[in-house]
Amino acid sequence: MKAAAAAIAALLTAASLWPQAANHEIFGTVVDAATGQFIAAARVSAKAGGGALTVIADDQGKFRFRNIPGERIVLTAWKTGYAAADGSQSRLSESFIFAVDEESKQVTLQLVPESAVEGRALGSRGIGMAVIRLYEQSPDGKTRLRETQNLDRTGEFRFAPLPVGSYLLETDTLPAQSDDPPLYRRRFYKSETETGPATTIALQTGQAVRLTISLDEIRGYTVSGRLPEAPENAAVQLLVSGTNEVFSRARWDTRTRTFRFDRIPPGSYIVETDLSEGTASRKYVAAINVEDIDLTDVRLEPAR
Amino acid sequence: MVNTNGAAIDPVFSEPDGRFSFHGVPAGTYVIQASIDGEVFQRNELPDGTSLGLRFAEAPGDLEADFPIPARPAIRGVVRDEFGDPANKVIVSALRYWWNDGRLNRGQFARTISDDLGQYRFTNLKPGLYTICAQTNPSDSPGGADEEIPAPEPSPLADFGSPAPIRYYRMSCSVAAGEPPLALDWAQNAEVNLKLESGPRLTVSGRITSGEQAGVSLVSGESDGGAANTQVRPDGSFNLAAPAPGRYNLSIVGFGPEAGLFAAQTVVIGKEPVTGVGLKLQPPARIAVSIRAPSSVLPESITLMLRADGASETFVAARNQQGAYEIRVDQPGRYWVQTRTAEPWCIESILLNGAPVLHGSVDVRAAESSLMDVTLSTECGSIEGRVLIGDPNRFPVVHMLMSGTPADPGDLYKSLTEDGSTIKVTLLPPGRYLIWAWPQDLRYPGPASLADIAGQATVVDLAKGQHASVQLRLVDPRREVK
Repeated sequence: MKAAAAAIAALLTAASLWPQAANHEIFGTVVDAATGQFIAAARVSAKAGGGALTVIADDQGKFRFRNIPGERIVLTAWKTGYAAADGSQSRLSESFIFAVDEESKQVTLQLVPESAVEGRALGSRGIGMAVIRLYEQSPDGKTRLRETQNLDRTGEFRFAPLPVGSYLLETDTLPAQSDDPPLYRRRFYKSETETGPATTIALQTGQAVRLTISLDEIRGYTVSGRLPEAPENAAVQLLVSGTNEVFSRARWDTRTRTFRFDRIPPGSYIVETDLSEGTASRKYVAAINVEDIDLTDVRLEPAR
Repeated sequence: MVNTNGAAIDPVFSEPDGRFSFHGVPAGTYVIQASIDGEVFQRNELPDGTSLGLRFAEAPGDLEADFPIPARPAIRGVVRDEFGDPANKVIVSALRYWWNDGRLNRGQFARTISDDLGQYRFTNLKPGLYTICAQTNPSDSPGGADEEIPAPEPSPLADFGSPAPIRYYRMSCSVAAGEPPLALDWAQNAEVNLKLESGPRLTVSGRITSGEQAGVSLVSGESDGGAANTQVRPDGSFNLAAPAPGRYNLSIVGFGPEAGLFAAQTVVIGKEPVTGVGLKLQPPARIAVSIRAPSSVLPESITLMLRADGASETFVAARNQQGAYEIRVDQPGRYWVQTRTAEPWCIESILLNGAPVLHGSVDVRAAESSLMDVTLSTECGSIEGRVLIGDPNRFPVVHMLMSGTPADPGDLYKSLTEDGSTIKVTLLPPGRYLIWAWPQDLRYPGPASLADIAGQATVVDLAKGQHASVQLRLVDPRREVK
C-alpha cells in the first residue's frame, strides 16, 4: 500500500511539472508478448487530432503522451527484432478511445519476437531468373504466402517477419524475361539428408531458420504445333496447369500457322489461344505434359 | 556467336572449368558474346584486357580465345535511424554519375527496399561513380503518405500541447554535396552504411500575387528526381515539401482564367523551410525570329532554341498562329542560344535586339518582346580532329564548346569518333572553339567541371568558311586542376 501511494505521489509530482492537462494523457509499456518482459527503446508513435509525435520508450519500455487533442488516439509501436499482431507485421497499430470523464489511460503494447526464414540458393552457373516461394502449411493444405523477386547473384533471401507455423519452400524458374536464363526444376525444398516428401519448416517464436538450397538446373524442351485457324494475329500462351499463371508466350508464324515455345521445363501446362471476335467464341486449348522430349505436334481443340 | 548480319549460331554452355567450343562455324565475321546469370555482357561495357567481342573475318579453323567475365560491382550495407536502430522498408537508391552539359549529373541507376534488419544490396551495378541515398517511404506510414510518422524524440515523453519541433526523415546520402562520389570498378564490392537524417519538413511556401487557379511544381535542379506538385489554394498561397536540401526550380502554370500565364523561380533549400516566396503570374516572353539568307531557306534547315542555364529546359523556335517564327519562353532567366543547321547552311551571326548572342547567353524577362536576327551563310567552317592516343576499342568521345566558357559552359557539342580516332564537325559559324577528347570509360564519366581541364583543351579560332585540322590529345584525368 505504501509503495502504491508513493507511486501515485510520484505521478502527481511528475504531472505538476507539465502544463495543466487540458486534454487526455496516455501512458504505458511496450512488452515482449512471449516473456512479458519490457522492450527497451521501442519506437512509439501517437497520432491524434491531425498531429503525430514519436518517442523512444525508456529502458523500462515506458512511454507517455500528454495533452492529446480529441477522444481518439492511434499508437504505433515497432522495434527491430520484433513483430506485431500474429507476427506477420513489422509494426503494431492500435486505436484507443477515451471514455467520457476518462482523462488518463494506461496501455500495454505487445510485440512478439520476430521469426524468419532466410538462406541462400546455390545454382551451378549463377542464380539467374530463380525465384523462391514460401507456402504456409495448414491441415487444410498449403497456401502461397510470399515469393522473392528474381534472386540476385548472391542467391540470398529472407522472409520476415513471419508468424509461427509450418512452412514449405519451393524453388522455381521465373517465367523467362531474358534470352538465355538457366532453368531450374520446380520443386519443394528438401534437406540434403532427407528423402521422401518435402521438408516442413516448423518455425518457432523468435526463431530464424537458415537454409542453403541447391537449385536443380534442368534443360528445357520445345513445344510446337499448328493452329486450327489462320488468323492475322494469334496470341498463343502457355499456362501452368492449375493456375492462371502465364509461363510463356509463343513465337507465332502467320505464314505456316505454327506456334513454338522454347526452353520449357518439364511440367504440366495448358496451351491456349483465344481467337474470339464479337460473340463468336473461338477459344482453343490443349493440355500437355512436358517430360523429357520436345513436343512438336501439339493440337489445339475448341475449348468447352 | 552472332555474325555481322545479326544471325546467331546456337549458343553453347561452358563446362564446369569454363571451357566452351563452337564447331562447324562457317566463314564470316562474328562477335562472340558471353552471359552469366542470364545477363549478356555487351561489348562496349567490358573492362580493358578482355577479348570478348573478338572478331575474325576468315574461316577460323581451330581458334582459341579466353573470355574473362568480370563480376559486376556490388554495394551493400545497412540503413539505420539517427539513434542506431536498423530502418525497415526504406527506399535505397544507387545514383550513378554521368557526364552531360559540361558537368557531372547523377541519376537513379537501381533502387531497392531495406529489409527488416535495415539491410540492402545492389549486385548488378556497372563500374562508375555512385552515391547511395536512403529515403523513408511515406506511403509505408500506417496513415499513408499524408500522415507520415515523424522521427522520434530521444525521450519517452511527448506533449501534444507543447511539442518539440517535429522532425521528419529526409533523403540521406552517402556523399554530401561537393564530396567525391564512390568509385567502383569491375568485381569491386563496397559496403555503404547509411544513417537517416531528420529535420524540420523542408517546405517551400508562398503565394501568387495575382489569380488563384494555378498548378505549382518543385523540381530538383539535379537530375536525381525529387519533385513535388500541388495547386495554389483559393487565397493564392501554396506549400510544397522537398525531399532534401538542394537547388530546385519552382514553376507555376496558370489554368482556367489564368491559362497562358506563368511564373518561375530558382529556390535553394538549406536546412530550414523556405517561406514567403511571392510570384506574379505573367505572360511568356516572345522573341520574334527573323532569318536572313542569301537564298530561300527550307524551314527544316535550321533548329534554333534557347537552353536554360544549367538545366534541361529548352524552348524551340516554331511558327506561331500567324505563320511567323518565334520563341516563346515561359520561364524568365538566363539562356544559351543553341543552333543546328542542315547543308548548305550555317549561322553567320545572331543578334538579339541588336546585340550579338551567338556564342553567349541571353537574359529573358517575363512578358518581354524581343527581336532575334539570324543571318545564315553558305560559307561554313569545319573542324577535323584526330585523337592522337586512341584505343580502337574505346571510341573516344569528343566535346566541343560552342558557346560559354569552361567554367560556365553553354552549348556543348558531343560526338563519338567515327573510327576510333577522328571526328569532323561541319557547318560551323566563325568563332573560338575549345575541344576535349576522352575515352568512353564506365569508370570515368568526365571531369567534375570543364574548368578543371581547361588547360588540356585544344583551342581553335575559326574564321568564316575556314577548314581547320587539329590533333587532339586524350584528356588525362589525373591532370584535372581542382
